[in-house]
Amino acid sequence: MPDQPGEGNHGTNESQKTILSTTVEGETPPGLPIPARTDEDDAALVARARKGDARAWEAIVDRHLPMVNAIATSYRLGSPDREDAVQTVWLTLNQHLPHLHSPHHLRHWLRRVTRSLCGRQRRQIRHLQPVDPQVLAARAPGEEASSHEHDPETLYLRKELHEALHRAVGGLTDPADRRAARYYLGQAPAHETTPVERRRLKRRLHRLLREHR
Amino acid sequence: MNHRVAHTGDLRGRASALAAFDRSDDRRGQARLTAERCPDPEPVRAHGPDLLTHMRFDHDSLSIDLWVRDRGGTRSLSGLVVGEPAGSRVQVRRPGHAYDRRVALDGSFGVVELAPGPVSLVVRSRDETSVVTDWFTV
Repeated sequence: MPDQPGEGNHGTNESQKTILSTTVEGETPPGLPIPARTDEDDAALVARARKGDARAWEAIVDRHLPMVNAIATSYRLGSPDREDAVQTVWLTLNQHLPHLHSPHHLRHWLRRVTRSLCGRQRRQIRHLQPVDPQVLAARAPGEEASSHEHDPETLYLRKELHEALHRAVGGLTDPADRRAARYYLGQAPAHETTPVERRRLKRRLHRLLREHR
Repeated sequence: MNHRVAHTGDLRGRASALAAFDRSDDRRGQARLTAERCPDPEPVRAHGPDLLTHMRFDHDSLSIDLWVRDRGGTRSLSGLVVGEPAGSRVQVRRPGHAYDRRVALDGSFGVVELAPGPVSLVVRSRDETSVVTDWFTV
């Protein structure tokens, strides 16, 4: 689809030119943006920005961007999603600037909007569950998406667990316990063990489980 | 709240935050998000785009229903404008550029293969009045 430039362009180059430096030389490493400083409160800056003062907007951004970034980072979004959410916060503020009821509470407003947008972004991401197309093609109709029975990693872990169990059973000193353990693992018929042996091993296993909790 | 000293902390995204400043929307009507419904997650299938969300924006008698879908990492928007006379246009805005679409006689419009990111809609009627929606992320 061809892009249609023009009307929506916010003049990025012009904004780049308005990045101002009123800080002491050498305070910020070269190459990094230098935040503008001002003594004005938020309400005064909002009033100036409403009239189209780009420097007031810049001061608002520099004052509150770290807080917006901190909140967005706390949502553990991926980098592109976090950047999209943060950008949407500022686009929303720009749009709502003339209608803010309490400009002196701008920080609270930004905090609420950032949380709302980041939460929405996170819900949207959760909705997408990436699935390997080969897994989808191999899956039988009606099979659950969470079924990973034949996943190589699952098979390897199952084999490892099987070997570990057999090592543990082999470590039992009492032959009756070994027989009962094999019975519980489904590898020995019931007639090879007595109910008493089975109950005794069961009690020992319960005791071991309690000790390891 | 007064903040006498500017932060010198995390300023990632400063350029795009500065670029968001634009007062051209101030004289336009604003259609607010009045409803949003996210369907329950379901596995991605091959039968078509996956519905991410359905949103509704309202401004006076104008309503915009918008469905956002995902297809292979890109987004598609399909919408329905109600309460606007025939012949109006919809502009799908991204930061820095826009896509212009004519609204069909039944009020529908659509855009496909949008990269994820912030979006806002502008509905322009034939008499050049326009209404903008809130910004949202697709």
